[in-house]
Amino acid sequence: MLMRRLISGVALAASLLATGWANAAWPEKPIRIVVPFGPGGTSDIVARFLQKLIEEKKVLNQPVVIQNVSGHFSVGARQVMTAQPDGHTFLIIHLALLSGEVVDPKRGVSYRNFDPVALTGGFCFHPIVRQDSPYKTLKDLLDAAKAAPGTIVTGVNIGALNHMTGLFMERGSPGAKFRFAQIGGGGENFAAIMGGHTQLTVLSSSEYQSYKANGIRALAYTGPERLKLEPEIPTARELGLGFEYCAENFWFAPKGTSREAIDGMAAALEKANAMPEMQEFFSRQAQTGQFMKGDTYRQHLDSVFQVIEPVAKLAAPQ
Amino acid sequence: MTLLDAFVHLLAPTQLAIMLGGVLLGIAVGVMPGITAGMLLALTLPFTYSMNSVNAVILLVSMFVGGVSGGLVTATLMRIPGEPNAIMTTLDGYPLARRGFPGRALGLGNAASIVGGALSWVALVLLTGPLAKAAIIFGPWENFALLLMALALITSLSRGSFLKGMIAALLGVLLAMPGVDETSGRVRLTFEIDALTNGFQLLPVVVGMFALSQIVADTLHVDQGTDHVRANMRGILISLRDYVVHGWNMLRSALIGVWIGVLPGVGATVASIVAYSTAKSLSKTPEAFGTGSEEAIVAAESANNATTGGTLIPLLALGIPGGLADAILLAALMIHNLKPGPLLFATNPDIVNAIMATHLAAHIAMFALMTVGCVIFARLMLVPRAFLFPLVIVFCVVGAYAPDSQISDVWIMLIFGIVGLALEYARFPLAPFVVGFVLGPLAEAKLRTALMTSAGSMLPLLQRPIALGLTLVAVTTCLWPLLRLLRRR
Repeated sequence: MLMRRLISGVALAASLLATGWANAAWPEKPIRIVVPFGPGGTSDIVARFLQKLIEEKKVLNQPVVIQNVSGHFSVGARQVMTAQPDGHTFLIIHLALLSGEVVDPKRGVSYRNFDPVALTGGFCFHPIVRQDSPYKTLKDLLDAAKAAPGTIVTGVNIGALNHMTGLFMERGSPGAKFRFAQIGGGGENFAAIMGGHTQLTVLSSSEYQSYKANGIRALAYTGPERLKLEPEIPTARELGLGFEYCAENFWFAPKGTSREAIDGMAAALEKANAMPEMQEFFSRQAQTGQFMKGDTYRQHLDSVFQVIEPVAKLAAPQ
Repeated sequence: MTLLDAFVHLLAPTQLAIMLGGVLLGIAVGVMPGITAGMLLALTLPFTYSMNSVNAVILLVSMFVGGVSGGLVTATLMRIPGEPNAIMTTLDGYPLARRGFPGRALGLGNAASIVGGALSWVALVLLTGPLAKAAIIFGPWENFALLLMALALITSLSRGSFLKGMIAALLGVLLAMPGVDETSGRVRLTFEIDALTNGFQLLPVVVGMFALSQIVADTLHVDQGTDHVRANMRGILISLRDYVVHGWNMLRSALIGVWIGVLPGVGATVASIVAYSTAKSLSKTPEAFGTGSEEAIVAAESANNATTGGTLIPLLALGIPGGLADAILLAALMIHNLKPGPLLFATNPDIVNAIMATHLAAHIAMFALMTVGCVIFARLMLVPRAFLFPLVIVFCVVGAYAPDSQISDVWIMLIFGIVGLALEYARFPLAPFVVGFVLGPLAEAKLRTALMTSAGSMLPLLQRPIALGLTLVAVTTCLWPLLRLLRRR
């Protein structure tokens, strides 16, 4: 079984070497999805669950292969950006692609250099403190951040989604300033806050579901309305911060990919996304299960970019 | 299902086959340069979706254990680290094999691997809770001080001129700087060259410096000396006496490996560096390190296998993946609707027990398979070099290209082949270079994080007891040669 799959993997590698143009019946060979993050992250799990459904329910008649590219997300994104638009190469990424181009324009990776395919679900964020923290509510926290600006050590990944959430909170509460420290992603930040090295961090709603039993507390939720899983946690907007901040799972193809391939992939993702298994996965992960494609998605990308651009500028290292 | 049941379950035909297959594949990719265990695990992940969760865990853990162990073979026989964590093994495994004892070199590494792995299993089963708690207390300052200490131990790694050792180490640190700055996410020092966006990657650099430069050097001297060494195949199973002689070293290196494995984001390569340096500074014959020292092989291989148990600890106790293998295990569990973390012990003890049982059983299977495999692999030393070298060069190119599928990495490998040759001709030791290259960026990242938490103050380094202790060891290590020199005057 495994051997046969490995052989099909080798066959895929061979077909990747032979570059060709997609035509006739799409898909004509295995589909490669680049996840520009290591395995186990939010984007990776979403891609893999969709992969599982697409293969098990035979949504497409070709296998789907996931390729993780770790390191900075722009490395994997660039691989897709510069790949042959053969109709069989796709990228799954989130808001980082949009904020990243503002944080470091020199890198030359922009969402405008891709063909948008679809949007499958998304997730929002929680500001997190330790269970025994003196900050019982978001108000406590923000008051403290105003009284002594720049003293609350806040673990983030500089320039990334959790950092942006912190900046949105600062902007929503003038005078409040956090002391951002480069810690990394969810796992690292959870360890740092439990070890007392940071006092505040931001976790995605999915990450919070994994760690919440271990002595941490969410002060708010950055989504438009309270999570069904966590009806106790108020939204940032209810608390008067006046912002919503969520990331969605974006799918892109290299620029110049054929209409047929883009529509075909979008249709396959739409079908898999709507399956009860996928929706159940989303709610278990505290994600939302929406879907977008075509012009709606294209316009959505532009409007998201406009909202985050000014805040992303603040996230750029000085 | 208790832990004992989990062991019994592993003996069922299906589970046994999955485990043996996993270990064998792991060893195979470990032996192959450029294809790392992490890649194998990522490639295998989709196939575990349709398995039941226990079988999935058995397969992934078996591959992980096999992969960490296989790197030793290529490191010893070709001077190519089959896995990054076998870099320190190349330093002494290869010279020992070259001197005519490939069997002995592989046997020692294999024995140290199982001892290190088994000791880390004990830690995994008995000390998961306390070790995970201790790891969390280890913050950026402590991590920085630990890496500082490891960097200071470079002084103990330089053979010959102390100054040349330091220059090589600093060159290693310098060449690790270009690429994405981990702290700010920005690209730096790439001089607008696209190939440098991701920096110099570890495998192309070490494959070029060690393996390719060796081939060029050997080819230049092909008229001198014999065509191939008279290889002694004996010693693949080391004697009981050897276990006694190397016992303390195995234990100490395993403890280092477990602890470094527990720390998130540090990893097996650093563990073998620290164990190797420690073994050298405590050795009665430190001058033998780098020339085929048995102690060196034992230290490096015991430590890198011991990280396998260590790295599973934060995953099981807290749900934090400590390394790539954990991250994939975590992904597999999540696809199977399982939540890693302390609750797993209560909600799915069968999974926890399967992970623990497989970790030990896979080590035993690895030892058996590697023993048989080494008998076959060691014969490579009998192949005339005229036939062997082209094969090694192919391995070098694949090893550089495969990890990221970037052709620029092949060029980087070739350039570092020349750099390695130049350094060896000028009698600069390569070990400090590699250590600087691996540890430099890690230490930088930890220090910058630490300074961000303290708003730029260095004081916590002296105020936090563990950090202070490690810093003092670092300072003493650096000053030691100077003090000795003064006393001699």
